[in-house]
Amino acid sequence: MWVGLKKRDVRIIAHYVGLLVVAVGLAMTVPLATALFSAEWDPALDYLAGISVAGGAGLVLASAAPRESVLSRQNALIVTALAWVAASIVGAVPLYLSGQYGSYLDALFDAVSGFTTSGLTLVRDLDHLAHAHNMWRHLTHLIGGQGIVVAALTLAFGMRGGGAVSLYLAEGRDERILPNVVHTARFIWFVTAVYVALGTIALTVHNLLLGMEAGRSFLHAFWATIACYDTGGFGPQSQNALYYHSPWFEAITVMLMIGGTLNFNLHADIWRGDRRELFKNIEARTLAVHFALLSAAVGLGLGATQYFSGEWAVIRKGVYHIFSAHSGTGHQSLYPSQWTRDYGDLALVAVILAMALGGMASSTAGGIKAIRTALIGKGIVQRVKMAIAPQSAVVAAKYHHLTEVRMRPDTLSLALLIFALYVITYVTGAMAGLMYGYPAREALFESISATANVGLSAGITAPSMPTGLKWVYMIQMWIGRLEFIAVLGLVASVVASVRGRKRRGRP
Amino acid sequence: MEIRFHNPYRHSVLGLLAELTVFVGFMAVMAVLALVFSWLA
Repeated sequence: MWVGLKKRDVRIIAHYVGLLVVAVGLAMTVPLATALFSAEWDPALDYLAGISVAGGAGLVLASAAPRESVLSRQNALIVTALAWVAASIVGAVPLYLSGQYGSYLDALFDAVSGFTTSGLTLVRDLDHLAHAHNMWRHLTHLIGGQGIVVAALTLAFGMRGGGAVSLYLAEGRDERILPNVVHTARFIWFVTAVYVALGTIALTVHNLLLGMEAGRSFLHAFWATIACYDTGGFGPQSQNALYYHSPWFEAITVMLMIGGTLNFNLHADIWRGDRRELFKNIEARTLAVHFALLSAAVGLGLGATQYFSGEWAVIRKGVYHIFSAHSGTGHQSLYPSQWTRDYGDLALVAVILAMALGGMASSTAGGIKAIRTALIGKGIVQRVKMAIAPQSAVVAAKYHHLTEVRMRPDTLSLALLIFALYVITYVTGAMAGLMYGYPAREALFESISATANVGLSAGITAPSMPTGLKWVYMIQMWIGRLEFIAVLGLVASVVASVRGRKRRGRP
Repeated sequence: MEIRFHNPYRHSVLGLLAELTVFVGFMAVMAVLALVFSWLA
């Protein structure tokens, strides 16, 4: 039965979305401080305006709460789906005011791309963007990668109890690390803080050795660290990773990408002393197998090309992009046109598959996720075993994921369902690209990159691209980040509410 | 009498070091694998 929304539900949803919008406004104090510190007075005004809009709109929405505002599972799904939209709408305000975007829609595209940790961008002159705006763009990766709703409601507003759990699960995090959601959120931030600190130090030293001046070294290091650990992909330069021309930069950022694509539950187990879990875990093993197969494929593919067959090119243009694509980061050290012109078909398919498969569940990565391909593989083996076993035999599938788990039919069917939804979205986005006249390889590449929140671009994503395609990619980034269920729940609830109202209106 | 202090972050530090070591090793193995296959092409 479809359950529609009542007036009370709408007020509860508005309250929580309002709190989140206020939290986004609070986060804008960081780019504001950056602007003041860098003596960027116009951007400072942009962020004052952004904070005013977020604060005003957020407080109006938050004041809608009824006296007892307990969050049901359905409402939590809707809050999550709308929260990402609301955060992007207010997050785009200072970007639009920067004057570096052709329209508010382009700024919104960047905000959606930032919060969903995708990394596709429509900024016109990235190389001359103010520090404050770069800080905000990268900060959206950090906020989105950690999970907007959980980050805001558990840390900023100290929310606890069943409502917090529902929001946590609705945001594409299907497991709890610690019994308490607040402790879980804080553990996730603790791991992130350690990686961000280490990455920033390592890259600052690297940038200083490259000859950059101190302040710029630190900012570039901090932004690259956030972009890689939160598997985002934005960069402060239009050439992205290519700008640094450094194998050390690529090695350090790959370490951050792997750290970001690791399941936070796995981090928790390893950081609590169970280091063998990394080798026993079915998801870690599956991801390692994916990486090995795709690295072999990219090596085989690039070995036959004209420009990338040298040893360093295979590693720095091949393996680097497998890590970047598979983790969902999207840092690239190629010009967009080179993907389809110089990269070779086999290597290109390897990168496309890496993007589509994605990293681990409960991480900052996007895509189908390794646990789902592992479960589907286990399910296939179980089916074959059942087919050849005697009729009376009971064939059970087991796997090790943090603990010994017996595979249940509903776990397998959910994995298959999400897998199918990803594939349908990949194909639908590619069809949209084809309808706008783009070649098939570019259209498929860009569609998968958007849905799996990767950010690698074959050249379609640009300020001049058709408006309709901008909307298609924004929707793909949104539903891909939330793994479909929250968005489908929102759509179903709205449809049920409208139908219910029509029925009540009949004589 | 020997007094031992329990460091609550000991496991975290060792865990982090283990992760970083595995990441470096994994990167190296993937690079070698890609190189071997590029030579086959």
